[in-house]
Amino acid sequence: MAEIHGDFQQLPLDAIHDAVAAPLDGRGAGDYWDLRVHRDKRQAIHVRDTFVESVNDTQAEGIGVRVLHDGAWGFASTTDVSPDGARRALGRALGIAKQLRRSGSDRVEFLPEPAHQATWVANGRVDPFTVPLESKIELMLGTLHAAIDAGAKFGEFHCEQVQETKFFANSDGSRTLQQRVRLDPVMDVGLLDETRGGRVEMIRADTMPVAQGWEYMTEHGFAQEAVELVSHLREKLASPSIESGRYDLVIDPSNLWLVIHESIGHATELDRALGYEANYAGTTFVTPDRLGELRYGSPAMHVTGDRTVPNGLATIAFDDDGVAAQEWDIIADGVLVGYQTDRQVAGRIGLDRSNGCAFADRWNKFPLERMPNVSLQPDPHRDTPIADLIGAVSDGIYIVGEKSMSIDQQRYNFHFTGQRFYRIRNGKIAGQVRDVGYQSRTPDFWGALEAVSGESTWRLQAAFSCSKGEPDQEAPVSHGCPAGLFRQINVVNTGMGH
Amino acid sequence: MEVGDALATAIDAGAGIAIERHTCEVNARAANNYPTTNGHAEANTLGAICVADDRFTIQRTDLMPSSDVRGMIQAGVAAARQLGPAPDASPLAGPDEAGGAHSRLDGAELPCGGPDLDSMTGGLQRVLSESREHGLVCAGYAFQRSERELLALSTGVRRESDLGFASLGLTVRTADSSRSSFLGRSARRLSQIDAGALFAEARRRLEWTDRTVSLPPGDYEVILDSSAAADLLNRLFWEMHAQAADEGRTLFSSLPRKGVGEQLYSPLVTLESDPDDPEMPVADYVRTLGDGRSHHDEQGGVGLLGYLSAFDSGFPISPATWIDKGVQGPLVCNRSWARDHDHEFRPRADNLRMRGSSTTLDDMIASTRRGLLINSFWYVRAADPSALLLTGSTRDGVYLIENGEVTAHVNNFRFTNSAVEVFKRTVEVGQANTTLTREYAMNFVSTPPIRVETFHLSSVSEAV
Repeated sequence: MAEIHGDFQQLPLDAIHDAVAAPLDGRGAGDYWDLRVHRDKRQAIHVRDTFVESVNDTQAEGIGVRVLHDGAWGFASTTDVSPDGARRALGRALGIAKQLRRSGSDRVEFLPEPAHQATWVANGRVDPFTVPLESKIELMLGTLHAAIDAGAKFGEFHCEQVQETKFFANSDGSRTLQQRVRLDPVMDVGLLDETRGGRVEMIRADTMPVAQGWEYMTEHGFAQEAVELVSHLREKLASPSIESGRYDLVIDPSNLWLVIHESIGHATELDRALGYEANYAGTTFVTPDRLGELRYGSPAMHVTGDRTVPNGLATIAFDDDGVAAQEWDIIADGVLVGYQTDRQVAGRIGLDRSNGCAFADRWNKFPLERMPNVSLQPDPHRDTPIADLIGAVSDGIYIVGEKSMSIDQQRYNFHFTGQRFYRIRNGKIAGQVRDVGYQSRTPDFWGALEAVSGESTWRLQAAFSCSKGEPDQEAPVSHGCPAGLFRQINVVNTGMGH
Repeated sequence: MEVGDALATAIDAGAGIAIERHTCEVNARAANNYPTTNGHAEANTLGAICVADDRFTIQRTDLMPSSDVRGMIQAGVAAARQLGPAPDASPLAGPDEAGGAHSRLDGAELPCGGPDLDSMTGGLQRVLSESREHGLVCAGYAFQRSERELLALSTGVRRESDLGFASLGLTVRTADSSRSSFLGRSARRLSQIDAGALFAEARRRLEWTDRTVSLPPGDYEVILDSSAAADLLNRLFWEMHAQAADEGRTLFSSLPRKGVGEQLYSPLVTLESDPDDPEMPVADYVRTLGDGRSHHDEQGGVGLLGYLSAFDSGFPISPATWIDKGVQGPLVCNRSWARDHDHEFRPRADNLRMRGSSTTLDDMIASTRRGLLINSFWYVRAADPSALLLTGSTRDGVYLIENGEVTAHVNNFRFTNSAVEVFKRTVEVGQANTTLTREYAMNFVSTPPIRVETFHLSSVSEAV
């Protein structure tokens, strides 16, 4: 997958560019425009038990034109991917911006960025859209057969494949052409829980979305994982229910990434901190006046933002403001030191450059500040194994895999569950327990972080579709993390009525 | 490409079912009393279910002049032949079953020309100005989608509809951000929503009292305003699938007769859907071409179609009562599962109405000795999916009511409650309105405020 898809390159990109650039040439200082030609190609396959539930192919394609006129935005889009379509969208965008300026819009200040001209294609060896459908289905149904042979009553395997191709140009003189691929393999197996009235209990594999080609699917070893899942689930159904109370928790990377996403990733979005999401996604307790001072958690916390990590779902060469990809610190030694920004908001906290977090999920959406890869760094001093964290606990729980979660709109109070829960007694794993939920307050939780495991335990996890904005936009994002040891966290029993 | 051309080509090329949509959306967003982002989007799309005997694939594309519709359909049919038979395979609807050719066009103009600001913002601009004048801080979102949809089946069935959905949500805060208030409404057209009245009500709630108190977690009598009630109702309705219940996946699974005919809720709870609801008109035929993205529930995957069957596309949808005076009605069920498992074929319309009363919210407050009023919820998720034990947080408005009056603003909470128990403990319902939920804001739902005699608030949230 070393090249941009040929069909896309045959679109009249130069003529579309000129249709937008020519009428705006020579506009006054401070004005800005950008243009995206965006193709989002997807195939979603869902197999269940022994049959194919659905195969779903989608190609969404169009032009989005954004104009900043005298400090006011206008945005319009069309599926007519032609110079005429671009001209029509430009006229509408400009019309909206002019009306907003006349009606008293707040003035947008857009930070400068050098012009970039480049073509970038993400990692990935095998283009999933060239793999025969029958091969994909054979792999997926074969995996479920393995689970059923191992005793599973139910199995579901879903794999969504996305190829995102964007042409971007703006009034800075940038022209970029980028393409990336991502996969979302999700596998569940189920048994009837005879101890609880014969209800279905499903367990989900720890497999994560990846920004890789189809080679990930063939090299991962799903059939073996399916067999192991059945064994894990059988043990879980026979395990005792947890008693509510305070426990030391060792949280596996397969669970901890989601806490990072919700309690750090969203909380350190600068547009939220400035109130832009007050009507929907919410605000945050991490207000700009606390930058450099807020103690987020223990000194074991070192959290970074980046759009560069290999195979990361938010990894890209240039964002949808035309800003080059970067890496930066968000939390160092447990203290807040940075935000995620785009060109519209970065200047509001005195920065002179955006760190490149603008993203629009489709051609018809206005780019927003979206989460980069936000990752918790491993122990910098020693390659501590997870077993050492478990060994430091006399009475606790080791939590693996993510499931349901809920957090308030300012990212303070949260509730998380998981897929598997292992009791820890005197530094050793002592079998599974079930019905575990843990609840805390973000600064308390991260303040209770005593240690993280080492580099060899660090895993890149991901959210395939993170929602934000109105209209809602779904962004892909990765989070790398080690395991963490948290002292005395409130655990609740979620097994209502059992 | 003329309207209907892609549809005709798709059917001619072998698609069993095709839907052509011409859509126009306008939206405007605001924060801190000023507009932020906006958008105007026109789109022509084609979706097709490519049926090869008892198997199928789904194909979707945005239509461009150069789109190869015929090639796409032929590839889809060829791909379908590689699959095994679908367990829900059924004959497609014929003209007799689907009512033949049928149009529901209201001739309303799509807002696809050069959009003017008033039609885009639905009065949001004026509200922002008013908010500045009153020293308040307003954020909001105005949205309107208008759509002409054409559906065709290879059996000769044709359907044509004008569909519309609009919404306006406002979050108004005091200048010091110590209090906030959310209100939202949906309608077919943005012009049908009174932005000024919404803002006035949001402001009234901010100014009910100057007093703020901190209350501990615990069990409280609550009035859930319509948005909060609707979020729980939507989540409960998601569970009402016969197939899921039969398979042991939902709270209904362990109930006698899967709960059908059982008095599971308060006699005050009646829940219906009707495609011809005058306030919330929606498609009156089954549509199984969603957005093509994956959907997983909290218990485990249920696929791209959920419990819908692609083969049911085009069948008419009748008005349905899902809960009748607290008695659970038959669950949603596709044709194949109904046939094989002795259920009724019960497709659902894309709207929900919980019956209300003539009692106003102010009347409900006036008759409260001590309780809390909750404006809206956020991040409602199942802590225990098998029992539909839900957790989430309150958001943008919690008020203490004492002796018939609002006496204080209250901190936010995390709640933990069974959705079934909430509607079982409902002891009063007020006037229903087409509200806007915080969680699932893109569907029509009309809900009254409800009084719940005991509601468990499990911890305090510092969020304001």
